[in-house]
Amino acid sequence: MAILFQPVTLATGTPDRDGMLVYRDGNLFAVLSRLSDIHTDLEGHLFVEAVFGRVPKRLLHTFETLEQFEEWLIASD
Amino acid sequence: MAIDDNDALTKVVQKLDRLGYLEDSDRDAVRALPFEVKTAPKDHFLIREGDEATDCCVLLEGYACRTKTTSSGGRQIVSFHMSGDILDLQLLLLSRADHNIQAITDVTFASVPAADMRRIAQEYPRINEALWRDTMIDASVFREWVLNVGRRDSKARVAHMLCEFAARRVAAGLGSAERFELPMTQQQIADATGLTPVIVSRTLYELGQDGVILRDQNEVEITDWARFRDIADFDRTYLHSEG
Repeated sequence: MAILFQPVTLATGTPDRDGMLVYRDGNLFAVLSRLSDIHTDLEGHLFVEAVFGRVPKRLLHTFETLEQFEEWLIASD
Repeated sequence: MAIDDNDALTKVVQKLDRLGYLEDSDRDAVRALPFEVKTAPKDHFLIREGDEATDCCVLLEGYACRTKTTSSGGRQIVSFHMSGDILDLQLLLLSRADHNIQAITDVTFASVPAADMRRIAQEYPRINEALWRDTMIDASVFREWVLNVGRRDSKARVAHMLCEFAARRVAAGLGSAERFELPMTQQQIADATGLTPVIVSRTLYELGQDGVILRDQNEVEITDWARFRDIADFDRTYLHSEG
């Protein structure tokens, strides 16, 4: 599985503007955001805004790091 | 605050009085019901789906919720409950619980044998009508929740849930609609609105930015009720109550 991350800016209407497009084997698979300080304990974590296509049965919504998100994606395949 | 036995059934009488037109003989029949006052800690399950229960619970203090879960563990809160609510009236006629009832704070409740509740419903038509009306209002609230989760956006969903909570607190005599302490966590709000806790957190932030609510920890102040109600698409008609 080839995973590619592409930084983007998200129009969430909140300070959660830093985002990432996630491509899996060349196809857009997910959109992630980096949580801002409005989320207190979760500040800095990654939030799965959207997932496309075949969604892993155990869908987690937040990850501490990009590496953890990638590990989960590979394990779910 | 301790609840003595006298207070316990007074809450039931007050609830039924709000639901119908009781006469003194009806109130006396309710006060003569056998019951036991019990307490349970936050997060305790009062009833689990599939249980065969023989008692009805009337919530006297604290807050509870009804939940259902998917086979993979996804949880949906289908209603919140507060002081005076009869939590499982269905057990008068249906022998097995089809959902969970869980305390979201420490709770005090009166446990009344379902057979005795059924008996006074049969013997006292005005009590029967009040209980029937309570069930109908429950059904109306469930219909509104289906609409809320199915067709409103995240901001309206959370705002609607807060509007309903505020309006029901007032109707139950628990205080002001403008300022209150939210007993539920962001996870529980998420489970009630079909959202994630992150989206709930973001939505509460947006409502604050809109200038319609102020939050301090769990304290919520609704600073512009008219605008908040508009954002929430909240029309209290479905609650079928004054307040």
